[in-house]
Amino acid sequence: MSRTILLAAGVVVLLVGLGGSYAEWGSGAQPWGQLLGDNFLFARSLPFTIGLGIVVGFWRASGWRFGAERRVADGAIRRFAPGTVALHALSGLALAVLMATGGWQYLKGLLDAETPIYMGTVYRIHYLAASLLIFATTAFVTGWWLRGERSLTIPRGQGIRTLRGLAHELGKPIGTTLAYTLGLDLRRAAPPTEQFTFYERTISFPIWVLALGLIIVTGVIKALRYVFPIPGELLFWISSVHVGSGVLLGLKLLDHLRYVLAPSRWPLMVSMATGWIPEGYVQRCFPGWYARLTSGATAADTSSAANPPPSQAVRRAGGGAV
Amino acid sequence: VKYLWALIGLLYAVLNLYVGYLLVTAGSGPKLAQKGLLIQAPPVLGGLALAVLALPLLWNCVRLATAKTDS
Repeated sequence: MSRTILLAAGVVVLLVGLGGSYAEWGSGAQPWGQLLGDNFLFARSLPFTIGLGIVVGFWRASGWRFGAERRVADGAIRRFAPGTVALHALSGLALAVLMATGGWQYLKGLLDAETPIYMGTVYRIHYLAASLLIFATTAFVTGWWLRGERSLTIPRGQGIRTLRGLAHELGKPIGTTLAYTLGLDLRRAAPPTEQFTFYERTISFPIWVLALGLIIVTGVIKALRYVFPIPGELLFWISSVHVGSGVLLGLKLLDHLRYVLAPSRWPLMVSMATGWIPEGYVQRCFPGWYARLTSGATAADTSSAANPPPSQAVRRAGGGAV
Repeated sequence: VKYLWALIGLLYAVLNLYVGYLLVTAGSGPKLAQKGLLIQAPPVLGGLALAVLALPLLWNCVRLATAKTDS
């Protein structure tokens, strides 16, 4: 109950903050055009957007159901919680809009071309999408931090083991080169894959963190440049890093889609949309996770009275969704 | 849904090939040539990287649309 009140308070504070800023903008007290007005609205809304993200992250973490769910009908295992699916979809949409509008701005300057769309509108859409991405990122990070979620990172003290798993996963030419360079013993069997593949944990997720971290931090600094004076040379470098990380995000999205749109990994793509993944696929491709799920089934079943399943169509087992 | 995602991936890959081409031509064009290597290099390298990474996505989208998916 109290967590829901906190969530409602977060929404109210956001609306009050946006309303106050919008009222000042609409009063005509300041001689701002659309571009500068939108910039101020975006910059002033940031603390409220981040605050709402923190509240939503706390709301999700405090009501989190630890332990995995199985769908009774077909034995499918929950890989992602419904909130994770929703936030991932929101982030994906925001990222697509951000890259389209940001790329439009960059290419317009680079090619010195006229644009059929008014640039103030392009910036307005860019700010709206940036707010969505900042909200989703803050909610994700807060939730992971409060729950101690580590399944997408390299476990402490298991760096070599994880790299050996990665080298096995990458296959002959690249994996062997990586193993030779780092002195990994590929004669040893590959360690069992946990809830996420070694590629997702060692390459994919760290690059997402780097690119999103850079683009959000530099974007926020750029947005604040009319609120707080920032030296011109520093702003030039911040803008350069912002564009560079935008290109890095475009590259990462190419790699991400390449990875999940492979026919052999299609169930991973489906699981990101539905939250569920077939049991046979988990058993074959994620043996480490499957072993945890099956070994923890008894213990989790006994605790189900204190932590009831969300519906009659699912039952609980060990392990857990992210 | 599978074919829709194959189409989305295909369109994104083709768009990136085009953006890569624009970046390389702009980076090696006369306007940026006057500004030195430090300004020229990022669009050229970024454009090449976009084009190179678009190719495996193109291939996987074609495979997704034509091959049997795992389950």
